[in-house]
Amino acid sequence: MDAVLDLTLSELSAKLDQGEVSATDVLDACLARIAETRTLSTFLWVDEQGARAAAQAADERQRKKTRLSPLDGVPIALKDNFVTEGVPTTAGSKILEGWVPPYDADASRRLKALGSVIVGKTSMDEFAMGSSNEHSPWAPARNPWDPSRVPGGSSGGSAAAVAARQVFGAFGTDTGGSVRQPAALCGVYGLKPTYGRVSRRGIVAFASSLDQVGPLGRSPRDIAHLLSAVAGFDPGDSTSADIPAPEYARLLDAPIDLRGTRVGLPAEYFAVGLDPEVEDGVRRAIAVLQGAGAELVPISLPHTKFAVSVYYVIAPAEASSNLARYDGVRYGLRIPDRDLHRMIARSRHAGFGAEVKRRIVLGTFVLSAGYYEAYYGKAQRVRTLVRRDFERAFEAVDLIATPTSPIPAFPLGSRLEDPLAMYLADVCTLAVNLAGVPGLSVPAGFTQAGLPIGLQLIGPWFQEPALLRAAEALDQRTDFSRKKPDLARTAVGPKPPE
Amino acid sequence: MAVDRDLVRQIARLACLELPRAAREGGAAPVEAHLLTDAELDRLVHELDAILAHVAELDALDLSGIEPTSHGVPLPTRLREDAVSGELPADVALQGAPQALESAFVVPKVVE
Repeated sequence: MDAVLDLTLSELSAKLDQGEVSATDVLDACLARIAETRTLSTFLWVDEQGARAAAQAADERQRKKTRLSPLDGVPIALKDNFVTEGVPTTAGSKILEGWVPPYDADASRRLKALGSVIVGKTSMDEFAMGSSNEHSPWAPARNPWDPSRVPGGSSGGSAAAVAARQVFGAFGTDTGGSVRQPAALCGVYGLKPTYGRVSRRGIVAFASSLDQVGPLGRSPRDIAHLLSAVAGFDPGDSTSADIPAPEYARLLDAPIDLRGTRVGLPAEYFAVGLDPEVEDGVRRAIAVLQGAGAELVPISLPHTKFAVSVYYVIAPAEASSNLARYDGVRYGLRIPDRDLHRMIARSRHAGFGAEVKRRIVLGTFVLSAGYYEAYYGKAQRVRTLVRRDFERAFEAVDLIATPTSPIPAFPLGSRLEDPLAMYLADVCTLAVNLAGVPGLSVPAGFTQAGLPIGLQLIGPWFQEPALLRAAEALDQRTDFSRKKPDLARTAVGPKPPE
Repeated sequence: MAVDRDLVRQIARLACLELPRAAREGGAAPVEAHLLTDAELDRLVHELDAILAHVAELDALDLSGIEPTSHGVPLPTRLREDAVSGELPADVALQGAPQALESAFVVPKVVE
């Protein structure tokens, strides 16, 4: 059954349709793979019972020829900040350890209604704050291509699970690159849709004006199926876009021809700090797009370099407000005290990790009286300039191509001591969230050491189909997404640092 | 922007990450107790200082006449009927409570 795990989600779905495999057998193969490669620490919770029931129900429908969707019977995983009814949800934090939600996120509900088999909840940086998966109270997830290295973050568990063929697709959330960067570091596809494309209801909030749910998968078509499953209007999210979502996979059925597609190359994204091997891989992938007919256009996004500063004011500000709800009163950790305010402070001090505290303090500072305009107000104005950069660029080009991460996967522990350096590595992904545009990380080759390289495609608001079509053109002409990590190495991974 | 221990402790108090100032009881001098250690404070001072120094690059931009952006995608604010929907039964809502009694969340006494 092991061979079935090498199928893409779309290929598996066709076999389920034809009755060539059963959802239960496929789930068994996934559970066996998860157990064999458990040193990758991709899952915080495996819901074997729930998954088995979902697979059996899918098999029943398969027999009756009443499959609900392309995801019916397909094993997938959710990042642990998706609220799931009856299944523990921690968002990677001690403060929510043991919490069993009484409801489903809109995305969780849609995926269940389409028959998908939710195998479990994946590891993440605490409250999605991090780019390495190391900001976690539990064992950090590891990169299947080299278990001594990080899978990226914050959706590192989801990216590593897809790369290790533990599941056929997964979901993460992307606030500043948290789907795209781990996708790049693990050699899979990862999409941050347009802000408002997917409901945020029931996603544990980090920075509400930036957070967006996104799929990770092993082919553009897989991403299309996963996106269609969760995209669409939700009256329960006031920022959900009331714009119909197309059937994304169908848009990939016609032959892909990139003639007439103008791809912008922003000079700022190829500036200093970019690893030479990453730059080489990204430029080769761009040349493949050109070979498929795309016209390359040099462009400028002049405010790119300010995106890190803007992001690290706005995101912590919103986080400090969102995380005020963890007070030890209604759910989560409580450290008892006879005084209410002391009880709240003790609970928060014990429940939050160092990175979360750092961002809450930073966010509280930039919102506090006397500093609000100098930091938060100013950052919001520069955010306008960042957005305008994209508005202008998309008058001249249809897509923008950049590296996803300036560096490949780095060794565990190597960047923890300097938070600012870790933040600066997010430079290629942050502006996309600030502007609300969609971004897709695409496998674009490997370094000499065998570490994946990611190309980021950025499109205008709600133009996800254009990203997927360009990615499909690249996928048809390369074999990067079909390369597999050598999982024998995962059995002998080094011990995580204390 | 000079960041020091006092500022960080004050911000941490605003964020409920540090104990509130001890109340004077019976006129006695307050005994200050802290959650944040000096080492934690120094680390936060150092990191906050470095991040704010980087953010100061925004001061170089001329922002006159530039409107702030709160969301990348301008979306209309929607209003809905003020109607009850999707409510949780009280016992379900209380399932995650650290301490509950009948239909209430229990907290330390706040009113003498």
